[in-house]
Amino acid sequence: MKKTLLAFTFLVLFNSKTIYASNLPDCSESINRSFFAFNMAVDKYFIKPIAEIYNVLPVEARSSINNALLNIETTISVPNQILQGNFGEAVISISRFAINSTIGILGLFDPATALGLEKTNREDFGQTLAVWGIDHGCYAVAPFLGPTSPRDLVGRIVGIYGDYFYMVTTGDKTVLGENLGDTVYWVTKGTDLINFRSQNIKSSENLEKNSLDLYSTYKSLYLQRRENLIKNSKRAENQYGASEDDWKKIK
Amino acid sequence: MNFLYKKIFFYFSFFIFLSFKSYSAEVNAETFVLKLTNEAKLIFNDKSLNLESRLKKLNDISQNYLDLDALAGYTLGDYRDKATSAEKDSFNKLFREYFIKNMSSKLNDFADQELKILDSKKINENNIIVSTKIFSKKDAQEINVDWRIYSKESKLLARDLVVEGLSLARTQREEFASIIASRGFAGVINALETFNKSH
Repeated sequence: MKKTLLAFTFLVLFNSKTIYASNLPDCSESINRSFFAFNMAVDKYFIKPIAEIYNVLPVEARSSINNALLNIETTISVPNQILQGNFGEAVISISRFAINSTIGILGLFDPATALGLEKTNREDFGQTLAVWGIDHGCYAVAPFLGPTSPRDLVGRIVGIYGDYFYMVTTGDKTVLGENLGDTVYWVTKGTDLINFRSQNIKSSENLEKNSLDLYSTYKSLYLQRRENLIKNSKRAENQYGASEDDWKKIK
Repeated sequence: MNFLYKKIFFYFSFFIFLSFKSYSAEVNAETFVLKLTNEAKLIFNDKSLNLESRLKKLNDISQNYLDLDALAGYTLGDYRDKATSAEKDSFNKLFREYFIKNMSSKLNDFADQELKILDSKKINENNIIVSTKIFSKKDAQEINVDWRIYSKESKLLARDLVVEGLSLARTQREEFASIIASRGFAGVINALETFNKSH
């Protein structure tokens, strides 16, 4: 019975129709807008003030923390690079992780890049599901988590339990005979959130000041970013495809 | 045999001609981006300008460098074909003012940053993407910015900025589409008027 329910939920969440991200249905827009307003309030009163204090740290310190967080993220990227068939990238990621965790002192420094091992694409389980052909489903905003979709939400949950860093901190696995404990996990995730927020203070203030409909601006940016991550595209080439036909109509 | 050589020579020359033409279009687009950003930087770094003078100068730049009517048309999305010419005229006028005020605020933070041209690529007959990197010494950040440059009758005009893979034109279009879906075209006009009055 449980399996049937799970399969049914899966089918409802991921309808089989292919949907281009910009036309993604916003099935519960009024609820999403309420959650969006809630998240903005949480950000305004809790997250942004901490991020502003964090930005007082010298650039070098923030850069090292950013390096260490990216290094830890490798534990999520590698299994997903393998699941997506990017074995070459997985080998580079593992090599980078080994070098930066040791010579780079727990990832605070990035000697791997200096040795010619360039950063690989960041992968998560939501991207893997997309590569496997599973559609977004409806656009959604989750309290505290922000913009998402059923596919990305499932990806996040699977991503937590499939993350080696989670296993050796909150889980019962060990690294060098030690379990690092819950505190290490939550401090790392909290720092990751503040680090990300601190890098986007100016741009988010600009959006708040200049957007005519902030909710749809964030929706568009989230969907474009996810498209870029899925296609491993960092530049404008991802924008040529679907939008190119529209540009051709403009004389 | 002689005919064959002539034929090969002709095709070779034609290929070189086309390659050179395409290459020079890309070089021109890169020079265009450098000129545009240098002129914009001069305005943002001129502390003697008040807000009104700065907006006026930015408006002058936009006439020479930006294809704002095309951008306005693109951001209207599906409604572009339904709008009457009076609606389009009214929208274009409001959009121009909104865009310049919006950019004035957005680009102010980038005035002290350095821009480096990385490369450029002609993606079709009229469009060239110029890839640049912007360096911020203060934040130790590097930002990838791609410029969509449209060439028409040997004149170049910028149509879109893609910052770290995020298109400003597409974001704007999706924002307008959302407003049109909930409040109609009048909602967009109303939102633009309110913004322009309050900024």
